[in-house]
Amino acid sequence: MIEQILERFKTLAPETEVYRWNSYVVYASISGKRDSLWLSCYKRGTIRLEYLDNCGETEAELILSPERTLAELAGSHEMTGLLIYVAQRIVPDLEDQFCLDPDVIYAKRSETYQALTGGATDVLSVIHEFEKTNYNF
Amino acid sequence: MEPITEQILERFETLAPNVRIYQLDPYFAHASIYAEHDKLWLSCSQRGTVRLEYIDLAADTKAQLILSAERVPVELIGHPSITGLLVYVAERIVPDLDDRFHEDSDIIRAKQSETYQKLIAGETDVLSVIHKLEPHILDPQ
Repeated sequence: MIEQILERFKTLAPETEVYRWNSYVVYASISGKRDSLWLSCYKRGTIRLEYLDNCGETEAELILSPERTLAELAGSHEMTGLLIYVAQRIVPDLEDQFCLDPDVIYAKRSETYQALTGGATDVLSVIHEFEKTNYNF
Repeated sequence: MEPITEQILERFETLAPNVRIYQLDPYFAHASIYAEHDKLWLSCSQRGTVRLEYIDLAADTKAQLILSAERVPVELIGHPSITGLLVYVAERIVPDLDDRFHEDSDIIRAKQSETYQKLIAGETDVLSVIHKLEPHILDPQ
């Protein structure tokens, strides 16, 4: 399952890096110039997506339980739109509960999510756009 | 900040003399206990998820405990000597831990660690444990 998620994650951007920390956690990242989108796959099946700024601080976060329901969605409207888009493309068998979650529904209304699903932009371009408005030096 | 988050942060503050608290935005509150190099990192998110991480000198997460808003362990990874510390801290700062927390096999294993046992017995404290763990590279079992 983790391999499948990683393979799908790799298709989202041209330069995806995969790190195998140990047998319990695998990380993968898509990096812009300063910010990055970070994926963590844990041993129990939890999936975590984080948007990290140039200081390595978490600006937005999505945690999916092993049952593929939403455990956490935090961050700005536009960033959560990106996380939801990515989760939908890499995680198989998302539960109806995920799709019906009010926070997920709200995130899907974001311009970022709409532009991504409409093919008007891609994940890396979105990160670059966010970087322009993040000045956390 | 949610009242429950405030309560967790207040309890975290009592664990060591050098606790730092950060409220980054309406979505996250973080707190940390630093030793010389390593640190214990607490994150409270808006839905009530609580995450405890042990981060080493190289900024790698060596151990992590994620609790769902229902106070059930979602993940517990790392060497027992560190997960013992995380479980000890979680028990002291997070109110209303679910029975499933106490029955979880990884939690039970962490409680069998020397670290947890010494903390419980009052033979050491959180900061001393971090100082003791610092020089060691511990691979999860």
